[in-house]
Amino acid sequence: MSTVKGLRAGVMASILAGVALAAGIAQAQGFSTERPGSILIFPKVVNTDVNTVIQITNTSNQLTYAHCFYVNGATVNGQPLWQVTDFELALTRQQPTHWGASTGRAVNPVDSVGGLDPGLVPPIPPGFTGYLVCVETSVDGTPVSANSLIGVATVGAIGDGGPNVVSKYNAVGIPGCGSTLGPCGTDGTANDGDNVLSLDNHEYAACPGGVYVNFESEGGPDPALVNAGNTASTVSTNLSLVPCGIDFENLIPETTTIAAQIRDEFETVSSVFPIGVDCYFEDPLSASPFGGAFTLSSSTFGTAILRPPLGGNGVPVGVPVVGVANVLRTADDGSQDTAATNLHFCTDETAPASCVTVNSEIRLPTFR
Amino acid sequence: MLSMKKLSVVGLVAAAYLGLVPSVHAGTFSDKGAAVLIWPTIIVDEQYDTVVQITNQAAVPSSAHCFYINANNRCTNTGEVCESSSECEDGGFFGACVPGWIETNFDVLLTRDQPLAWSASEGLSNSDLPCPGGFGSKCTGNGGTRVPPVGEEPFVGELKCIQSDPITRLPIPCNDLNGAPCRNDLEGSATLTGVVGDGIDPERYNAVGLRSAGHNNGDNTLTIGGADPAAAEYQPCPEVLVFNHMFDGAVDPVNSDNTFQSVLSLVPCTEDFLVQTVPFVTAQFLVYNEFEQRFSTSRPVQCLLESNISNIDTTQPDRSIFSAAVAGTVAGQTRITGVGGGLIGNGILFTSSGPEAFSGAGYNLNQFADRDEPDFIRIP
Repeated sequence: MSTVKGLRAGVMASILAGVALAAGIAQAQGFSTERPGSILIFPKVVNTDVNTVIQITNTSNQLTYAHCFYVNGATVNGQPLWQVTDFELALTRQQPTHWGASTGRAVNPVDSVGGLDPGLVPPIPPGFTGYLVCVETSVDGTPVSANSLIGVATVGAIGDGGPNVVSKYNAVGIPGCGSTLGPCGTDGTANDGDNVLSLDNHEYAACPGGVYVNFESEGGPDPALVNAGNTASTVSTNLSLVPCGIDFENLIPETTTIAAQIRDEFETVSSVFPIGVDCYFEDPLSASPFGGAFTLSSSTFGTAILRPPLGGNGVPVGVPVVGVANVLRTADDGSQDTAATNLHFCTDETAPASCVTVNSEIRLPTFR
Repeated sequence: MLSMKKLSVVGLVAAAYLGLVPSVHAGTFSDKGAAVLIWPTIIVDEQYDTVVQITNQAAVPSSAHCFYINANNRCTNTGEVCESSSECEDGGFFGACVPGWIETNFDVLLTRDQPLAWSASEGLSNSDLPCPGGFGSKCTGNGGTRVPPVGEEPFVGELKCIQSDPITRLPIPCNDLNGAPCRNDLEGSATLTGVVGDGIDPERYNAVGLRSAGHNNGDNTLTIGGADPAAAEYQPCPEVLVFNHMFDGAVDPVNSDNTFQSVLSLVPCTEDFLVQTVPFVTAQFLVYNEFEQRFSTSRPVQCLLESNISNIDTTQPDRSIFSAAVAGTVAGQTRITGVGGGLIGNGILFTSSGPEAFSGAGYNLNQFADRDEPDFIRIP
């Protein structure tokens, strides 16, 4: 009998070793706009001439909680406000929820808003231009790596005498590593539950080294509208960028500098540096930080990599960014509409892309 | 009888084998470079055109073998495009309006780091190529590219592009562990732009990508996922698509004059272009409202399902489980599982305050878990 047990133990040990070895070669998942995460970033939340509707869903079969932070990145006299407002949500199993950013959501079971109220969500003030971060937690606010959350945001306005402009994008999800068998691969560890969320491929996925922006020539015509006879159409892309690293504890806005490598259809290469991201960046590609580089002289389409510059040792100087692009099309009769898209992540660490993964952190406030 | 020593050796050999085969992990990608791109919604009609954009992320040239799939419904008696059987009248007799599946393939050759785009209604001819090569050309590398316009108007279908060898038109043999790394160089997007009434309506989504699983034998059968890591050439299709949506007819929480309507497009992961068999997958929908209440329905996906969500389970939208009047809340989560194969898709949200004041917004679906069963793409 002991011999049989020994045989089984030997086989099991070998199989387990094989599984561990295979898991070691499993590819790390990284930031995602499709898979559930433990941190969600909504890079564009506005209450200006357009508004924002936020949707968050708990994709797990467990009750979960989230600690959310609105960050107002609007600037006053060139200085970012960096005003932070936080609130908490509770989501039952598989529960979707929504709220209008300008209206918030009350906890009122008898109001006209159907559904289980996830928590008291404050409205954002008029003029708000910034982003939303939601961190999955346990009931006492301790960060957890349950990877239950997905989100989408709808930005726009219809009617009211203005242009009909509506666009939609997925929230950027940051997975918690959880363990060596989690989405970060063999480097993954359990969440230590403190207020420092380490984006380092140990506790949470590390920041991708850059993002791709696929764009139409800024101010140029739209091919589909041209085909439809709108020969005076124009296209303008607005970028919303959030630094990958936020300090909510000390309220120090993250500042980073990124470079843009641009290539058009004719292999013409250009670059723009520096592009300062001071807490938050929201500007069209025609804005001064880009120096006109996104207006292509002889091409309709281009692609750009936005990433921090590399120091002498090949290490990025500063943190990368995540974001969305919102493209405004204007027809020759003045009618307009927008279409948003998530930016692709650049994970190619080889030259010339050189999108080296960067470790960063999100610090949550601690309350004593 | 095997001794303990021999069994342990067998186990260790198995462990070493598993260790040498890169394991597959985690679904499709619309936010990273990939080896196969799928655009689930390509529309060309009186109002809409689709601009397809594909980019080579690599610092070396890449080639893609692409397939337009025309999924127009057709009358069985006349062969004309139809929406319902009532349109299939001929000589007093009615045919049936059945799903169609006509495939057209072409090649796209990209130079290093190059973005390329074309209108589905116009295609891309030699004179439109940025880098055709030859006298007077600014650059070379696109020679051999010719994108046809879609086969007919109206056109409803999908586009699929596979990173391939420009000569064989098959995937490039590779193995990440043998010094011939597999490539995931392609990214893409589509913008459906409409001129509707007095306005315009662009809707954009990212192409869904299948990334390499770390090895490829370069034959004409692309194995996607599956339990055997040694066989999988591409990372698996998702087990569940998660559609975060507004219920049809729901009132905009910000402006109560507006209502929402959503459109869902689904295509099968498995497609056989060699023998031209129409793929058939049953999509199961599990719908949660904000009260955590649950509904379900299912619907066959034959080649392509493109539908208002409140028409998925009924012809009477007000009675649909996807209708806000039935669901009782604004937002919903629909979990879509394919039976008999995996599914890939995208969504479009329409916001309107009247028939002439509306705007559509495209977005990608979320996903959960990986399929255990493999999917396949077989190419000629």
